[in-house]
Amino acid sequence: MARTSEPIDPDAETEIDADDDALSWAGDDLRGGIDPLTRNRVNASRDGDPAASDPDAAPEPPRSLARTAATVLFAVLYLAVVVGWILSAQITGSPATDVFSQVAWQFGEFVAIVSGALWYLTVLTLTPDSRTRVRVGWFALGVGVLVPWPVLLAVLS
Amino acid sequence: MSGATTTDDGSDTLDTEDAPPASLVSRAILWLVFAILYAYPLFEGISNLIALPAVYQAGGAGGAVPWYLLIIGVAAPVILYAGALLLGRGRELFPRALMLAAGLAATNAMFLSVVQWAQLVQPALK
Repeated sequence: MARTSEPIDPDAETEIDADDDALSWAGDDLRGGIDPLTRNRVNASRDGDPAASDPDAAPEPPRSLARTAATVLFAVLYLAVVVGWILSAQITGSPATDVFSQVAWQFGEFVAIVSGALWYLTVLTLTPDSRTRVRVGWFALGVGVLVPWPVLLAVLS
Repeated sequence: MSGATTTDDGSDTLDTEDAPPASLVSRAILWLVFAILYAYPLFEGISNLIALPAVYQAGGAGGAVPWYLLIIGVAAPVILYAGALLLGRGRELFPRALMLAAGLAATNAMFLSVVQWAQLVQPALK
């Protein structure tokens, strides 16, 4: 539409290549000479990298092969912990006979089963920007605390 | 969790550490609910600490009381609750609740482990 406001010069019009005319807009030069298609592509790629497009964004979390490997390794370990506690819950039983103790024991068994998943998710969500050593330390502490002893002792003895 | 959030005065905050912490009322409710949930494993631990040595004495095995297991049973709920509260300072409500829940689950898991160990090391009682 901007072209309508420009004085029409028949001589100048013939000099411009027909394709160029169709694919460019008046004012493109003012925006750095980038045509709309390319400009959108550039913007899309910038959106994909928050650190580049948003100066206020949080600093890039530390990423390394070791960190990813540790996170995956502990995911497998914690899965084993959950399986261990599912098996442990079959072994353990409340020595008490009153209803409250039974219910409390069942609740304890249930949260013991989900303890591995809860600990893993907690460390995963609360250490996104922490150093790898800190994250691995919390993962390792959880594995140490949550060893499913009931099933291990039953298997070993 | 990460990412810029805008506060009332329009300034950008970069992470959860700078975000306004949970209000006192919601924090107090969270403390109370989890205190009740942690109280049962603690009660069990204390009652074991008091009752088990007497049972062992009566069974003629007073020297074989597994004190370390009894102490773990009492200390685990206290340490995990206090630890979750300390680590949650200055954070929003969800991370606080997540840590308290993980600590509660770990407390119950440790309680079951301690009971199983105690049964394993228990000597023959008269």
